[in-house]
Amino acid sequence: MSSSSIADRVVDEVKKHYPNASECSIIDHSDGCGAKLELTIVSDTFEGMPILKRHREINNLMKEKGLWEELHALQICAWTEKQWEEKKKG
Amino acid sequence: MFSRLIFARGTRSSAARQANYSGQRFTSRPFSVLSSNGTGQSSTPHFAWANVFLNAPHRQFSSHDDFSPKKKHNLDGSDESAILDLIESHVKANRIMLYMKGSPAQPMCGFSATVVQILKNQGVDFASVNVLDYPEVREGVKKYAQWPTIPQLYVDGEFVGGCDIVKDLHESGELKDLLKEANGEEKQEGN
Repeated sequence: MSSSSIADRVVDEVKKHYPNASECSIIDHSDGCGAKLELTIVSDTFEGMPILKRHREINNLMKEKGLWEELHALQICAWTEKQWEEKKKG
Repeated sequence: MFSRLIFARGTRSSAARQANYSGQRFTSRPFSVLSSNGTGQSSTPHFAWANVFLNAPHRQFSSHDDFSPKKKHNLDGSDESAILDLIESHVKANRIMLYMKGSPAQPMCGFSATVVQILKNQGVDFASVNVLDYPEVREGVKKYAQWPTIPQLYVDGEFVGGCDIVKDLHESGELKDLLKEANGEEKQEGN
């Protein structure tokens, strides 16, 4: 577990938390430290949920799982299926 | 020379007071003999003259509080709840309130710059605080919003979000509605 990168562990936890996510990917924007990440998650759980709440939910998840302290920056893109389709088109 | 002696006499006593005030540093100086008698009755005014310039900080000549150094803010030592109260008063008093790094004219962080740009595009007036000037507020807003990063945008006393969220809301058009509500209309209760 500890041998896997922070990015992998973040994706693991997010997938576990949002089992219905159709898309869950992470981009590493750091220069090697692996702690500056961009998370994209697409799930209908977010339907009707304000963006702020989506972010808070994922931030809290990171805190619960003890990943928070290791992260330097986590950019969150949390979309519903519908929004994701539009993003892909746009 | 005579006037110089008078001046030395006049200032010597204040030099002696200074010595009492910051004793240790003063008495460790080579001319400490003057201050250590403490009475201002030294027989060597010439040394007192030297003393004033070598040891006494220039602020000793300031006669009024107006000329004393001022701190930019008086938040030092304020406890946390006072800071949170201050932030609450900010966000309540200003319909659109932005906590950022740098100023709107000169943002010191790309994320803050993005939010400023968006607000300018929206054509709204907003108040801002440069958290780099106020370390207590910088930590305070993180606690206040339960949000880990700067910038932070508040509308109608409610936390809207940081850069990413503001950007998303801007692109989806929601921000416009939100800011319009901030300009007078009744805001609906929302989460």
